[in-house]
Amino acid sequence: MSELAVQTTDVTRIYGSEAVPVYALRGVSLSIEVGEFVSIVGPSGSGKSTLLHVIGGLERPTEGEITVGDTVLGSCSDSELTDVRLYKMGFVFQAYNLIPVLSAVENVEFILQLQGIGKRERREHAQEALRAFGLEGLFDRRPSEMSGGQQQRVAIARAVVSKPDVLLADEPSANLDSETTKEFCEYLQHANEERGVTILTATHDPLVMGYTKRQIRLVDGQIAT
Amino acid sequence: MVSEPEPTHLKGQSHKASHGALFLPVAWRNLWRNRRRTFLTVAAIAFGMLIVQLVMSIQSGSYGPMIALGTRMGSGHIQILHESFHDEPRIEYAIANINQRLNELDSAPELKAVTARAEAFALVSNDPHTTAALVNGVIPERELAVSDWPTKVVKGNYPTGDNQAVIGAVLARNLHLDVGGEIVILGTNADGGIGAVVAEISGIFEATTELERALIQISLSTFQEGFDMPDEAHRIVALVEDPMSMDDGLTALERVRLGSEVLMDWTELMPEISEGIEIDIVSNAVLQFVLILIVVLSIMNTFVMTLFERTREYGVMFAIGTKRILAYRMTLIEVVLLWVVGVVCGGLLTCLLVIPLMYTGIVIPASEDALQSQFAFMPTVIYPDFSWWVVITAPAAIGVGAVVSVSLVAIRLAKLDITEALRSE
Repeated sequence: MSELAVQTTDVTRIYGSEAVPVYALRGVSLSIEVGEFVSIVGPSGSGKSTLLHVIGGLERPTEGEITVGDTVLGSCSDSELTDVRLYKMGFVFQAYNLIPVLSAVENVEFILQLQGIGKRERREHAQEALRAFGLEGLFDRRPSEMSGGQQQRVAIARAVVSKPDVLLADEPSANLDSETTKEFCEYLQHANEERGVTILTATHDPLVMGYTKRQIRLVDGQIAT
Repeated sequence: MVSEPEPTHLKGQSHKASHGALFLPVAWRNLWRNRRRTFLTVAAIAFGMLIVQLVMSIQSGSYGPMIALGTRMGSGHIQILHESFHDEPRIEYAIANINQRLNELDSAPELKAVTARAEAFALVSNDPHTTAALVNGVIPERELAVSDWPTKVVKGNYPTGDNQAVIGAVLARNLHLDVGGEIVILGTNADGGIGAVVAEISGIFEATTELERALIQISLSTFQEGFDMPDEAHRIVALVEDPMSMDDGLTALERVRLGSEVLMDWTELMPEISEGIEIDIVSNAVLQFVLILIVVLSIMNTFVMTLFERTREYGVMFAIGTKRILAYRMTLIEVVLLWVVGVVCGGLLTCLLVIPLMYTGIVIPASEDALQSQFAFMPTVIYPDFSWWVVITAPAAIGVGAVVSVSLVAIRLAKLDITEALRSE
């Protein structure tokens, strides 16, 4: 039996008030095996981002259980969840979300710094990660001095540099043209195949879906059968 | 179920390492993201600090001269007097054995100078003119070390011998007297008999109008002879090195104090000076507090805006594993850097303005008489004093205020919802 990277059991997420509840997720149960490259697809408002957020420990589900590796997120304190995100997760966001005052290499180093890695070692790891994603020569560029595609590649480098168990990408191609999206997806594929990172991406872009090995369709907060 | 092994270079690592190496440059660069706002905040810190330090240095520079002026106008720093004399200055409330005690006190290292004085209210006349006056018996050769009276003489000399007197300019005018004239002093001595002195005017002094009108000084020996007070006086007056630290001086005087006598220091003898200083400290403290509050609010506003503008950035930092306490620490580093820049600029401004004034002084455009009578012996020229507490107080208060206010603002960081922050523009 394969190892599971992520497992959700009857996960429900309700927003709004008790009187007017809004169901973002309704009893979502899924399993992602280690090394999988999975896309969560579905129309806007179907709960894709919410599912990524609860799996990533960015918010807690109203009901249900989530396990990442051997960690049950529901039993973690806020501080432990932060550590789970730091050591077990990597995030790539729709809007790149790099720290604007840091250069490319510093953005990647930032996460290693949080992990307490020494200066020389983290600089080496960060440069190596940037090279792996074709960013040789752009180490000292600030985000404002890079294209969208380059920024998104820095974001993947940042996400994978700490060798996370799971990489979560929320609509990563939303701000990219098709050529850049293709290039970006190849880098994701590289991270998945070469580095063995389990990737879970929320997308409604068929191009991105094409690179994933499995698609999970969400409709109205439920997995469509 | 076992997860993929953690990378070896990450195993067992947590937030124990110092984050200053990266947070310091991040904080420094963040500071200059909105240059105009940073410059305005730095200017608020610098000018706030300048004003507070200027006011404090002027205060600090004026209190010493105020105390010196006031105490050298008569009270000295510490006195021995009869226990009833201060409240009821009757001639019979005298203190005895003056010469021996002065000799003993002359050798006390805790005291800078010491003298004795007697005083009585009497009628003074230069026929046919008569008026009431306060007659002071002083030891002329000691008086210069204890008071400024000898320097107040504008015509003639301070009395150097028996049966000589100096009188105020107004009194001299009222009695139609001049140097070389003769004045008759008539009063009541301690046993109810008549005390009488005839003295030659050796000098005329100018001081405040009140004193010029009512004061006459003769030698103590003349006073003792005229008012039948052998080896007696009403006050033993001493000066110490530092009027703010009188414990040793009080101990020295305590050694010669007799049973029915009390020790009083200048704060009791001239409460108008210490009260004037206290009022000045309080009123200026209010002004300084308001100024510092404005500066702190300006810093707080900067960071409210900063946190508002960087909500998404904080959301990303938290999402990728930054603990909230670290984000708070980074914000704190930012405010400390802002404070350092402001304090350096403020310090330079203060040095440029205050240091020259320490040498040139600030001339108060009012007469000495008005300043002394209405403003608790305010000197006519104030030399700002740039002491360590003047240097430290404003930056420390602004720094503490900034850290506290930014900590209040940073409560928002603790409550920030990561997913909402990520969605914010």
